[in-house]
Amino acid sequence: MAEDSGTMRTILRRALKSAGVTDVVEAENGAEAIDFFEEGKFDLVMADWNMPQKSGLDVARHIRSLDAKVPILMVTTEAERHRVVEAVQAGVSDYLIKPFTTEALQQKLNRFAVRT
Amino acid sequence: MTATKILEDSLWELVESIWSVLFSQPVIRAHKTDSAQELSGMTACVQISGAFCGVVTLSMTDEYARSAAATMLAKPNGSLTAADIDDAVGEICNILGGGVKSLLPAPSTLSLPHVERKQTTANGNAAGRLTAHISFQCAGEPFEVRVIEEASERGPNETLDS
Repeated sequence: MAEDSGTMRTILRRALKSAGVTDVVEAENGAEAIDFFEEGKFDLVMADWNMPQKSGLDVARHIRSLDAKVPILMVTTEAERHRVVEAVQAGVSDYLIKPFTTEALQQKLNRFAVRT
Repeated sequence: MTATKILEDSLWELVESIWSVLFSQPVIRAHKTDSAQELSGMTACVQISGAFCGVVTLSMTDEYARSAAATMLAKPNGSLTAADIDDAVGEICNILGGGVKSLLPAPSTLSLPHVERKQTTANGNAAGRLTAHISFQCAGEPFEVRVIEEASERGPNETLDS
């Protein structure tokens, strides 16, 4: 999970927990997320778009250069169509607009079959 | 109907929707305060740059900021640090700013949120034209949202209402 807001990380962690996902690695910015990804193995990457150092788009592009398959879920306030297209072109697999409900996140997780 | 009125109506729907998801609480549109004044307490702002250049500000009392942060973090009010509250208010403003950006001319980019714990100028320290200003109440506490278009390369008579 790459998200610069501690509040949003808490909300995401809570929503993931209620969906049964507890094994979560948290990065506070895009650069940290890239470092974590290069060191570990992940079933899903969730990234905010607007983050310091490296954006979620930078994260998606970097991860796609290393791994063509891992699902990348962009969790962002960037709701315009052209931004969604930009994200998909960068390798993002799916998109969740903030604020989201736990049910909406669960649907995305189901799509990628992410479970504990 | 002016562009400002359309924006304020859309802003109202946006705030109602965001507050419903984040806080499960209804918001009511409150009597608009004097645009030269701002709620004392906290003001968060995000900058929009591109086809529209300006800022979105969210102002609220310290009491409401603490209450909102407590709800988002699912923590007791008394256990919150100033950093917790700043981050929560900044994130609300970030979500709000993203929504506002989608209502304005594209393409534009959104800055990271900035939070100030003091009474600021009516424009959240940004010089420009007040494009939209709505006052709300949630759980009896007031908060305000402003959209301010910065002075730009548009002509003197060329604004959102043009």
